[in-house]
Amino acid sequence: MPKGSSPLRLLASLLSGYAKPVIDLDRLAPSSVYDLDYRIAIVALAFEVYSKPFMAGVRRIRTGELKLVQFIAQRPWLLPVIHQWSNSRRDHQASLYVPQHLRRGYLADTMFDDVIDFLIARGSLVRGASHLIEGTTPLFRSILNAALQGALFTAELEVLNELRGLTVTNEMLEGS
Amino acid sequence: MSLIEKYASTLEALTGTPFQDAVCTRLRSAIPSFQKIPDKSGDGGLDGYSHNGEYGYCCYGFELDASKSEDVYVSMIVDKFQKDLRRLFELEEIRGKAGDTTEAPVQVATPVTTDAPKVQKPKLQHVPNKELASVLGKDVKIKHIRLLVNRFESKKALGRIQTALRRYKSASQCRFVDPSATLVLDGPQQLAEEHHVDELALSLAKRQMLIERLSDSAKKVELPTPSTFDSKMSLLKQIRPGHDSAIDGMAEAFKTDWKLALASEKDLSDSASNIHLALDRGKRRLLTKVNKLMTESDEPWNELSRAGELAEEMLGPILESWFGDLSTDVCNGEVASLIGDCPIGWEKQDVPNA
Repeated sequence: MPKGSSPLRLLASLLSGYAKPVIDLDRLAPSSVYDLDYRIAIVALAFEVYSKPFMAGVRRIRTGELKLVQFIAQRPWLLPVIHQWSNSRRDHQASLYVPQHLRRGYLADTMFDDVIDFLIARGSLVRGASHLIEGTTPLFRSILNAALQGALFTAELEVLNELRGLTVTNEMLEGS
Repeated sequence: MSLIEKYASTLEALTGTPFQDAVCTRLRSAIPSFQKIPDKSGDGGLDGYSHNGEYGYCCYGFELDASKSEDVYVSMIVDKFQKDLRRLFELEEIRGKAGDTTEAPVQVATPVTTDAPKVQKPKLQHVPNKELASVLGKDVKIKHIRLLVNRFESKKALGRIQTALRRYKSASQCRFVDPSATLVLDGPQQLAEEHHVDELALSLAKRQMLIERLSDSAKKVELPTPSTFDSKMSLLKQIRPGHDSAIDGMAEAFKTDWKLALASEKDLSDSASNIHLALDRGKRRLLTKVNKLMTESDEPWNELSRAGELAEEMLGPILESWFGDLSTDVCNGEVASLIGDCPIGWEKQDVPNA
């Protein structure tokens, strides 16, 4: 018998014959990190905060950098880990040892890849060799403005602003 | 950082049962005759033995607390291992009556040479250790005792433990420990240097860290909808009066499992997003399946009692690569979260011939 199944059996025996089950499938809310609208908003905010001018009126960002910062923006408790990782970049052994969980976590964020594919298909982004460039149907600026006006995503914006001073090396983006 | 240093620092970070498990796993891989002793119904003071019972091992992984001084840690180590030794020597301390000022606390009861006024040590009396008899077998005596601790930075504990060993030898009938037995106290560094360290040893120790990390994190988790859960339990008490204490105990068990599930999900979301995504989808499939079984059955609650097995079947393969044998607990936690959170609930049913 699997450990922990006894409370279930006790519950079943207490309810059996005395209560009717009520199951609401819609009450199982999916995690917000798999909500497309939320993820587009976070990508937009990260792009607005981190992208750099590329040519007249157009901005771009390293794909891996966007993937990393938007991952942290959704998980503020990882801020100390990313700072530790960034600070350990001169020590190759430490840079491999310290951030394995974070590295694995953000590299495996396949939802980000799907969101980027969607934004490219929509024309909001263009894929370069190693960068993502603003597309012909801009969307991100309006999302940022809406977020600022409505005081939305304040926690995520706070993290993104705090990450401004962070040095993200190519080594940290390896594999993304 | 070398593998040995990494391994030693990983062991240092472990406490309690995870530390004991990591040490036993290490010793089992390095010493073919090592036997771990399950402590479910009492381990008799030993966590493991080897060489047909001639070598005995006791572990202690204490919690670090920055507010405690080094001397406090030394006393904790000494107290713990003195207690283990007394069990091996089948001894118990008899303390004086309350108010007896000659009674000395255990940690200062082993002066070696001092001119200070002598304090009376607690007396020792023989108390048979039945567990040890069943663990070691007939006519086996331990000749070497190895005490393993997760932090070994002070030499102060050594003299006090060796003094205690001599005192216990002279007071004991020595049924399970040889009168000439020796003792050493070691820490993670000694354990790491003694046998080869490879990636496997390191990953096994890190697995114990995962268990510890999860249980720590589960303690800090705040349940998302405790009031909904509490109202379900209140309704259950109304439906089944007279079962309040059983319901309270069950509710606590569900909450503990639910917290573990939340901590596990956070761990996955941070460290293995792809597995987290698979789990998120797997939970929905599990709920759909439980719903189907309960809807189709004449005895729906019997189907609910099988949800734990069903979760293991459906979510186990997803979780196993990350959580290993802990995945069973995480599966139970996921079922608890379905009850704790909103999806599975109940309402009163009219009982025929009530």
